[in-house]
Amino acid sequence: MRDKSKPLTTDPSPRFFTLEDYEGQVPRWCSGCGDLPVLTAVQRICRDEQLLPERTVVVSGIGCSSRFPHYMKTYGFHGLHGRAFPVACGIRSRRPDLNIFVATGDGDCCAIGAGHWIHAIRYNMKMVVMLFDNNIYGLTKNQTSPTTAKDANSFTHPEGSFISPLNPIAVTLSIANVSFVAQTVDWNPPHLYATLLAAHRHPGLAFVRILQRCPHFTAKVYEPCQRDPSLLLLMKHPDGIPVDDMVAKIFKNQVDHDPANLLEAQDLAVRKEIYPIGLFYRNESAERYDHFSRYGADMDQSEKVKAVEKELDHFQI
Amino acid sequence: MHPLDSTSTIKFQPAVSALRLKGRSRWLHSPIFVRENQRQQGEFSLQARTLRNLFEERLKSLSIEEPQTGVVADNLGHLLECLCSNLSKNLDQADIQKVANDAGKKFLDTLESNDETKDQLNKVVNDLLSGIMEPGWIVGRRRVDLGALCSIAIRSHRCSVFEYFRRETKRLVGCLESRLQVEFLHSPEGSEPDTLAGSFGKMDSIGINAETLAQNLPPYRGARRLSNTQLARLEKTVATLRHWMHSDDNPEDLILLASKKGLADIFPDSTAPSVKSNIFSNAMDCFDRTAGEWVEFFRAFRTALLEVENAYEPDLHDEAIANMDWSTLTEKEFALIPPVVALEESTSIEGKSLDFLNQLLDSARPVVIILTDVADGFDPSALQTIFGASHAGLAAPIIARGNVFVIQSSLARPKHLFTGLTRLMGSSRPGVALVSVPAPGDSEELAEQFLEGALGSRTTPCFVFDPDGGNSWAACFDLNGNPQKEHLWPEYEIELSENSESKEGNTSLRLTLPDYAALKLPETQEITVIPSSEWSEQQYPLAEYLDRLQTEENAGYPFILVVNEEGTFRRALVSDKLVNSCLERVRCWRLLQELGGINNEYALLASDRAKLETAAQKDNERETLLNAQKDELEKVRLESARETIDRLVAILVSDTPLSIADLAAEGEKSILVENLHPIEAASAALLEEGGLSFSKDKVVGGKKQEDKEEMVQVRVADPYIDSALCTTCNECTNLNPLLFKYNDNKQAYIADLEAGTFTQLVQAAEKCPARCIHPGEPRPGDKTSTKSVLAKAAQFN
Ligand SMILES: Cc1ncc(C[n+]2csc(CCOP(=O)(O)OP(=O)(O)O)c2C)c(N)n1
Ligand code: SF4
Ligand code: SF4
Ligand SMILES: [Mg+2]
Repeated sequence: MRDKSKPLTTDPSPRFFTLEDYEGQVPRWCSGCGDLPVLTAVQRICRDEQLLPERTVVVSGIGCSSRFPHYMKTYGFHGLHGRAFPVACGIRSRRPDLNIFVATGDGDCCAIGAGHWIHAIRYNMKMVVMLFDNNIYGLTKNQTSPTTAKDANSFTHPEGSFISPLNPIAVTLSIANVSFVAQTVDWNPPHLYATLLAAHRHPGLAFVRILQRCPHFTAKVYEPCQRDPSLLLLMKHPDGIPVDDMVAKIFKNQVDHDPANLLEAQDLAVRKEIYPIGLFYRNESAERYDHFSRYGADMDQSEKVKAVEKELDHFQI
Repeated sequence: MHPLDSTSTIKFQPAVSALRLKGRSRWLHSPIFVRENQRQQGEFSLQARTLRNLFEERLKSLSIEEPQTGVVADNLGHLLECLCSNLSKNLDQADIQKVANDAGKKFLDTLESNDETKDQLNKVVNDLLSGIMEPGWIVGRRRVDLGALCSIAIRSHRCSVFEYFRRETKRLVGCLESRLQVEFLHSPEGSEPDTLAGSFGKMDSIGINAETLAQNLPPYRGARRLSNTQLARLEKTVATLRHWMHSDDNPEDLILLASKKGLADIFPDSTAPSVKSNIFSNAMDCFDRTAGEWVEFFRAFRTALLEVENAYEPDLHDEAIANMDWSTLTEKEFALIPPVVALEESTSIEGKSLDFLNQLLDSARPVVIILTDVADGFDPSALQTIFGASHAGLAAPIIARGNVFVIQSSLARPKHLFTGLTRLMGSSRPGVALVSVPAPGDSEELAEQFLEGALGSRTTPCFVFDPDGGNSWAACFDLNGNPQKEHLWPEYEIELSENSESKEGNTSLRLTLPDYAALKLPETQEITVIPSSEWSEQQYPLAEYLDRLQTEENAGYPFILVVNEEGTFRRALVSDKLVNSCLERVRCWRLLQELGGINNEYALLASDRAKLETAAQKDNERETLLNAQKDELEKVRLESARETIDRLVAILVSDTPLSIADLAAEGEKSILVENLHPIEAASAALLEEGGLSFSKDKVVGGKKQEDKEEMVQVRVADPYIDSALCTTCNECTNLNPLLFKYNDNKQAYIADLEAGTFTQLVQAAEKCPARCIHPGEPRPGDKTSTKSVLAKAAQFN
């Protein structure tokens, strides 16, 4: 419903979008799946920021979480397994005007797509990356993923996984030119919303790992910390993710962490007994590859031809 | 024969109008200069000023010194005359610059000046004239000026909204077309190879084959489709709006019907359709046809507005849109319809024609009717009505209808006419404008004498009747525009030349009805010029004579002063018949003045009464004031005493504040605070933080019991969902979509408790992955709340 107190139109876009304007197909995720609240949070951000649907694109790879673009009534690109990043970077290279959201799973990003992941972080092109970490390959029905805990069993490791999991936050924080790393949980909508909103407003690549429940295959993984918020560590700071007191109150364990402090962020990231949530690191002045890649995007056809010919002239004998 | 004998061939004119022409006041009201106002937010509006006013203001602001400015100021009338005579030769308004330049030259030539002053004068005049060089229109009192004035005033109304609708329509079409475009791309046709090729650009060059892509695209790709009816509606709407956008509709269009060839000189370049049947029935048909077309447009326009806001609800709007007709349009919308204007001579309105006019006015169609009335002297047999002694007595019955916007005006007052027409256009009622015009072929000077005569003698006074002005005559009826409207007749200072027979240099003369009638000398039978040898003590100036009629038995004979071209004055006796007409006119004018709020009998009586009352009241007031002062003094004394006592008490009894936390510590309230909803608990906590506290006496005193009761109320736990924590998992909404619904943020809340049972609430709470459903206690009368259900519920409360 439209908020009647707001003016009907906001120039220069004379349109007003409601949540429904961003709702695509009816989601086919299992009921109770942690992907659902993320979808709602993104739709709310689109609505609250009045993002133009035709100027918004959701890019994904393959996986349960990667079905995200279908459920948004914006543009979308449901790509190849592991290849969300290259597609998103390609779009951003030439289209500074679009809002880009990337939906990728722990399998999609940290296994098959790991190479792209590392370089996308370094390129730091403006986009919101949501890593849906359910510790499993969900879509292919229960295979060990790089983030699956040691000893947790799956169809590929019925006796339990052999080696310790990869820590996506620690990895990301150690990549050169990283500019925004945050962690949140799907079951706390206010925190989820605030984190994604901060990511959306970040001028660069904002990497958000979302601890995502998969009630179908890995129901046990996050259940304890959903039941007992003291298993989560709320990182607080004036420059961090803004959470209001009502929300902060439920977290018994809190720590003051300045997101400008990379070393401290790395320390926090590797803590094993507790999941820190909030903003690990932010550097708004990191270099951005999209500032270079869009060079000449505003040239018209004849200018381009001229430029190519000029280059070719170098080879004249 | 004595050269000044009444039978002399030298033409006599009423002194008042002949001599007034020589003075400057002649150019007081005409011509006017109309030009566009500074646009504010693109809104179009016009402004009209008299040229004289414009020039005088400009003269004041000129940096050039006396005496040159003084010379021009003194001869301003002459400059205006040059301008107007030049203008009447150049009907084409477009070349105003040339007209002005030529007039300036002509004016300078007639002034006596040496070479030195000539330059200076030249500068002054050029500067003055540059004031009218801006695009605009000069409108005077010629017949053709009526046409110009009508077009400007009437068209301006449409221009004022035209831009707005063009802009809005463009925006709406843009929005709807992008909607249709999206729809198209989702349709089977949108997946055709051609379309794909079109939207991808050069596919071949990047190795994509459109055919193959088309075959492989799934038929349904994501977005919700529009229903067929909505699609059809959108397409139709866009087509209608586009049609207008691409039409060559001109904001200045108006539909003009003129009845007679004789009126062609008023609208010389109009393409007035020939009127076959009656002009008024023609106008009605014309209006219906035009309005019909435009209503179709506004149906589309309003539909588009709703569609763009996503607010079109077929149940609500289908019928309303279909039932639209011209009477349901808003004022702004209405202004976009090209106005239908019917021009007719008032004298041709009789018999059948009158019936048609009445029919048109009955139908309430907002057509503009302009009726011209030639000012060519007074005829004692003319029909006398309160609103005038001409115009075929039309104003009276039309005003009596009460639903028609009526103006009566004259080319002698182009500004009155202009503002009147502008107001008329702003009304959505039928409008009738009765306008005095000069006879075709009358010279500028003659035209002026007749027009001023008709107006000043109150034969055809100016007024505006706006039925929407208010609930009183004073609010609806406006007599402004009449010369010296507070007086019976307008009175003018006249300069008498040397050979006149009056001793004084100046005298003041009134413009009376016989003066107007005397313009027809020597043809008129009602006025007889007598040689000075026949002047006698028994002869009185008309105004004096009329006064004498009231008191004296033998009132004598009335005369007016006339003058010939040589400046010789004569008395002219007024016939009994004309005196009777004159008396009738006086009576009518008095009534009219009263309608216009001048010399209103009731008002005068009331003001007398009020004067007496105020005098009495003043005495009363003085007494009450004295008493009040005494009371006030007493009160202040008492209060200051009380305050002192209060302060003393406050010092003796300590008043330490006590917070909620303290109260909780007292034990008895702690359970209550725990049982509050989280939000309330938070606000309680906030209260505490903010240091807001209740003072001891408030709790310990008599209020204590009440406070407790209020809090106990909260204890009866109502079920609720902590919506902010809901993860949109669909569990509860699938369980009972009426009981649970999503809010604006797509998070669940309890929508209708009646729609579900307590058990369902508990089931949902059990399923809810966010554990944010709190079933509370069963409502009285709920049959599903067994012990085990209650036990389960307890975990979630
Ligand atoms: C190149 C390629 N390899 C393997 C697959 C099979 N596959 C589909 S989804 C998936 C893993 C998805 O897991 P994740 O990215 O964590 O997404 P989730 O379903 O858990 O949200 C795999 C391996 C594929 N589609 N393409
Ligand atoms: S399998 Fe898991 S991740 Fe996939 S939809 Fe179901 S609950 Fe969600
Ligand atoms: S069951 Fe809970 S989380 Fe799911 S929709 Fe209902 S309230 Fe929201
Ligand atoms: Mg996964």
